[in-house]
Amino acid sequence: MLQQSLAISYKNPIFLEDPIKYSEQELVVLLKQRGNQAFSYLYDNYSGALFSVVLNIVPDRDLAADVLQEVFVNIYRKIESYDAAKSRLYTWMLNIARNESIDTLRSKGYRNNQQNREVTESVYESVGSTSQQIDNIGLRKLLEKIKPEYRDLIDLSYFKGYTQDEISQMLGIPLGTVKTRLRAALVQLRNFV
Amino acid sequence: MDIKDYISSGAIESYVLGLAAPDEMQELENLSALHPEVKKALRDFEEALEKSILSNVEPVPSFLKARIMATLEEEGMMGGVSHPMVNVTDATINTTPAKVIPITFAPKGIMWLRGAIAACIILLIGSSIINFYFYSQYRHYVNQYKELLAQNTIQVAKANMFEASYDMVKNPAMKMVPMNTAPTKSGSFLATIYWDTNSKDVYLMVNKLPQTPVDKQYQLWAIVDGKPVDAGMVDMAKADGLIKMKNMPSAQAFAITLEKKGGSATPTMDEMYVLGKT
Repeated sequence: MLQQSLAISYKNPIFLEDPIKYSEQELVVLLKQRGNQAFSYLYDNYSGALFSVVLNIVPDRDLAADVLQEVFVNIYRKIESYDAAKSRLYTWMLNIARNESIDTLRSKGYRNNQQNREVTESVYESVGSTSQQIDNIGLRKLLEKIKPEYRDLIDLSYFKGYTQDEISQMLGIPLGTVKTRLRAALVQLRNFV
Repeated sequence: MDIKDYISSGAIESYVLGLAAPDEMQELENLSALHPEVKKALRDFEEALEKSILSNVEPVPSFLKARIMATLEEEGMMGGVSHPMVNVTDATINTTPAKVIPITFAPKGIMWLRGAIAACIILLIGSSIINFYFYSQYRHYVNQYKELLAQNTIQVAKANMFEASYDMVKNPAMKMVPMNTAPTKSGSFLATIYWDTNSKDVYLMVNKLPQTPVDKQYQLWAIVDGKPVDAGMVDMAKADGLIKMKNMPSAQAFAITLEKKGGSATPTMDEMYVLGKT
């Protein structure tokens, strides 16, 4: 469960405008109806969180804003297929945000704008560069606290979107090792959550 | 597999964060269905994650909301899905499963069309009513016209007849013999004989004679050598103009008596109405 070492103040900074508070169940029903008010509520309460997720992956703020728009469009399009039994709404949206960000990261346009980084660059060479990328936001901040090899795994899989299979090939590590090491990394990370 | 080990292995975190491979995902879903503790651990992590990230929100540029909401509206209209974005008031909030709300078509266009159709129908009905009216008028006037034509024909015939009569009267060879009221009768009567001196044809004009009873008829006599000679029955229907009577080579006088219908061999002197010497 939750570790209390870091202050978890459950702030709801964006409930300012909206006196109405929906339960997740109510919200899901309304979203599936594509209700204008429901999506407005969703935006008000979650856009900031989703934006931080996007920024973790796409640091450029202007671009991140575009990505955020795409995220909401995707949510709108896919809400019909959202299955409340499989995951919470937030988790589902989080994954949409992350996937959209990674897609942007991998798009040709984005690549042209970035400094060329060799995809095949070895992990230990990229350690230095990933540490430079660490911002003070969200998960990235927590990365500082865990082991470097774990950090890189999380960076590659969560922030860069490589599959475990791809990582296995990139790092020359067996797939099984990638799997267990990634899980361990997450456990450690969670201890600091 | 030890469930507790599984729960603390990080598999759940991997799944929630979307980092799990397909086989791992399937594994977790199966275990979650089989073991409530796995499901609970899953939900717990999801909640923790939500709280964690919500505590680290990034301020979003304020202009973005309007833009995004507008994009979603567009998405609804053009996305080809059957439920576009709708404006839902609080009153409609309920937790029953979502019902599809189909968009009702924009009213503006179809209201005009319905109005136009209604107007056309009314015009058509009105036009039909007027048509019926005009047609009945038409028939009425056609009938009147026919009547007039018939009357005209009659009038023309009469005019012709009068013209002929007048020509005859004008004829110098025609001798006019007025027959005035006979002594046997009181009242004022008049009839006129037009005797063609050449052909000896006798024409009668009924100037003024009373209508006959149904069973009686006027008879014309010519007094020839002191004796009355039948000069023909008077057909009162022809009394408008000159009535052609029997040809009379000679006569000293003419008289009209009222006889029974069809006439008699000898005149009824009491019933003499008019008399005139030639």
